[in-house]
This record gives sequence, structure tokens and C-alpha cells, in this order.
Amino acid sequence: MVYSSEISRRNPGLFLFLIDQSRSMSHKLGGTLRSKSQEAADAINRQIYELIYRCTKSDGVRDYFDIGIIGYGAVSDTADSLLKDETIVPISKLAENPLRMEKRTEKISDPDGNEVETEFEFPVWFEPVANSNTPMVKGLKLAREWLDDWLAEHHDSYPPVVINISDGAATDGDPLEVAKSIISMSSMDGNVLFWNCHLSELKGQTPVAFPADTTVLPATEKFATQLFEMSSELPESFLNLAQERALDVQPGSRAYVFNAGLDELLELLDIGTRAPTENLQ
Amino acid sequence: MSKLGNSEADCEDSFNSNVRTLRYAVADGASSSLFSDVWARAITETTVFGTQDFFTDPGKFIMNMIQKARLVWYEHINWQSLPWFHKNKAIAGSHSTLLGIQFQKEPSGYSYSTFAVGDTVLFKLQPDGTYESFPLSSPEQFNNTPSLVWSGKGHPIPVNVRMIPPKTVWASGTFNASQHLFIATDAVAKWLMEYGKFQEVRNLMYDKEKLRRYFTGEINSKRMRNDDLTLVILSLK
Repeated sequence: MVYSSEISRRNPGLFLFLIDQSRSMSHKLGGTLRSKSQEAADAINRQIYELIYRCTKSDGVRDYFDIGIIGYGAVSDTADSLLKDETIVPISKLAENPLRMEKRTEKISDPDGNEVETEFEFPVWFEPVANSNTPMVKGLKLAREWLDDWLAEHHDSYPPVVINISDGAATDGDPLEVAKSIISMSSMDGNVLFWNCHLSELKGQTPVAFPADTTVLPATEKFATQLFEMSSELPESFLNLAQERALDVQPGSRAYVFNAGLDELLELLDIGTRAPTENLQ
Repeated sequence: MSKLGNSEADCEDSFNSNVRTLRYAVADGASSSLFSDVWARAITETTVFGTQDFFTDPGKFIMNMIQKARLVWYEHINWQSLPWFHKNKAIAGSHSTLLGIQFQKEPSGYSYSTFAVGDTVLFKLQPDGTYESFPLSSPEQFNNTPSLVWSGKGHPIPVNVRMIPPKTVWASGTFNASQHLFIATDAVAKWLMEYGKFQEVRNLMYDKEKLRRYFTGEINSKRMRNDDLTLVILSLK
């Protein structure tokens, strides 16, 4: 049985996020008032926060996960780690070393139903950038190097989950071959899971979430099909999770959303990171 | 004992007893919430040392117990000095199962009153090896969402707030020198129901290391779930 390894401090899981930092990411995300780069950065920072929350115990943050973040396109034809002087790091290290802290407020209720506005600190690990072209192939090659090193030391671990967020086609060649080589990498528990989220900038665009074939994708958008081919098939545990949330998935559905708005981006990140945390020990 | 792979300090179960009030309590702190070990200790302590009596007013006993336990829990945590990741999670409060039992001397042995919140189980073992259990009676009844005693929210919600009583079930019975009582947290309780090895465990109860090795073997052979384990055996001499 695959995708069933217990995730523990001895056998941590890995989440690797890839973010497009090309200039077009400065355009507003469809249906929102903020840019795609801002929404994507906020969503990933929030997802890391959620992962830290799940790993936090009385004795501190337990290293159930390793995390890596790669940005591509901040500098022309360049991909690099977004964590200063680090590649893949244990999650406790992220918890202890955010780039900065933001003050945020939320309302919580006491047992009598009185709402109390409380201030809390929200960490930020990387800032949004939208600057140059889309060297996705370089980003994927860097991810492959990191995955190769990580898998060499984690044969028995839950397979790495790679989540790529982009708004367009690669400008440095065809990423399909590198993506397929990433998907073919594996631990004893199964192949690397490669997720793709394509962000939309047009309000009212219909998102296509977790397609099982390419006929539902717009035929005019070549990279829509390319990203489909670059995405893993959803394993059963992820399918079950998506079905519990009444999402339209079926065997063969890909880990992929095309024309995602903010809701779809958040849903993809949540499902992509939620199923492995069910295996926490 | 702690879940395999964790240190003893990581254990979130708690056992407490008071021979003066003849009360015993076992709690299994939920690993999904923070400071559940502190909460588990607070509720076992206030259960066995509380001034209220199980027998006279069970409902009042529970409310009194969780209010005192909240005070102990709240004051134990140094809210101001917590790092952000502790502070942001601790506000949600802590959760734990709880099973308490109080004995009363009778002419022919003891009577007892017991309550449970969640899946910590009391077994009454008869001399012929048959048993009754409370509050669960079969392995299928264990799941990932047992009822839990909640501490209430943490700082900045103040310590003195109205507490929500947990979903509590009560039972009573008699206990004599031919019987044994086992109180077990969920992993051991489920295993006892599935494999019935009460006698094997009783034989090892005075040798903690042998019992630890025995349970480790059961976990490694996948017969028992890898979890914090607490087992209390009570008998009359």
C-alpha cells in the first residue's frame, strides 16, 4: 500500500513549494483586489503556519515535516531558494526564524457568546515578488536536485509533495520532461506527488479543478494541457479527502487546478497538505 | 509509558490517586491540542483531591472539578512568555479524556461510583476471567473523536469564565477481594478487549520493565496501537 507511511520525527514528510515570480504575477488575481504574487505568497505563508500549528506540541514544534520554497523569475532566468541561506529546512527552524512578524486581529467567543477581539502574531517567511520572466524549467530542475538529495536520506518516508503555483507558460523551454522525471522519483512509500495550480487574472473565468482528462481544459491554451501532463494522479487518500468536501473528483483526477481564483488556490493547498498530516504519529 | 519514539516527558496521560478519599483518576490528554499533559494532570488531581463527593451530587462534582482544574491549568502556563507558535495554539485550550472512580466501604467489601468522559475504560474482572467494562464494551466503539473534557479557552480569555460541562456517563457497582479492576487508556483498553490478556498483564504488573517490553512487543507486532499507555490495576488484599 502506498502513501501510508507514518510521518514521525524519525520519518518526516517533505513539502516543497515552487512559486512563479514573473512580472505577470503583479496582475490582480481574478475576483480579488490583490496581485497574484501577493495572494500566492500569503496563501503559502498561511499554509506553512497551518503546518507549524499541527506540529506544535507542549515541548515545541516537532519536526514532522521538512519544508523548501523555490521562487523562479525574481531575477531573469533564475530560480533560487526563498529561504535565506537555506534549501530544505526542518519545520521547527521555520517556526523559530520567520522573516518578520505581522500583527493581525481575530474575534474569539467566550462561553457566554461574548466576542473578544484579540491580537495575534502572524509570521511571514517570504515576501511577494513579481519581476521578470518565467524560468519554470530552472525552478523544476532545482527542485529535482533538492528532492534527489532528500530522498537519498529518507527512503522510507511519506513521498514528498511538490506544489507549483504559476500563472503562465515557462519561458525557458518545455518543463514537461523535468516534471515527469520528478513524478518518477519515489520513496518506498510511493512516487513524488506533483501539484500544479494555474492562477487566473480574469474575473469570472471558470476554474477547472482536479480534471481526469484534458477534454475539460480550454483547447486554445497549450500550457493548460502541459500542466495537466505535469501533474500527478491523486492517490486514494487525497481523493477521499476531496470527496469529503464534495469536490468533483474521480479515479484518474490530477493534482491540478487551471484558472484558479483565491478559493481554488486555498483549497488546493489545503488538500495537498492535509492528507499527509493524517499520517502524523 | 510514552508512545514509542517519544520520551517519557512527552507522555500526555495522567494517573492520580488519593487513599484518604479512596479516589482514583486516569486521563488521556489529546495530542491534537496543546498543554494537554498539563490539563490531564489538572483534572486527575482535582478529581481525587476535590472536596465534593462523587456519591452525593455527581453533577456538582463535575462542575466544581473542571472549574478548579481550569484554574490549575491556566496558572501553570506562563502565557506572556510563550513563543508565537505556542501562544497562537494554546488559546484554543486543552482537551483530555477522564475516568474517575470513588470507593465507599461496605460490610462485604466496597461499593463504587465511577464516571467517564471519552474512551478511557474501567474493566471489572471476575475470578473466572469474564469481565464487564465501562463506558465502552467493544473494540468497535473506539474512534478518533471521543468525548473530551475541555479546559476552555486560554489567554487572553480570562481564567474565571463559565465552564461548559463535558458529556459525562456514570455507573456504580460493588467490588470484592475476588475481583480486579483495570483502568486503561484507549490503546490498552482496545487491546484488552481484542485479546483478553488480563492474566498476562497481571503477572507482569510488579515488574515495570518486563511490562514495558511486553507492551513494546505488542505494539511492534501491530496488535496494539502505538500511543501513550496507562494501565492501573486495583485489587483488595
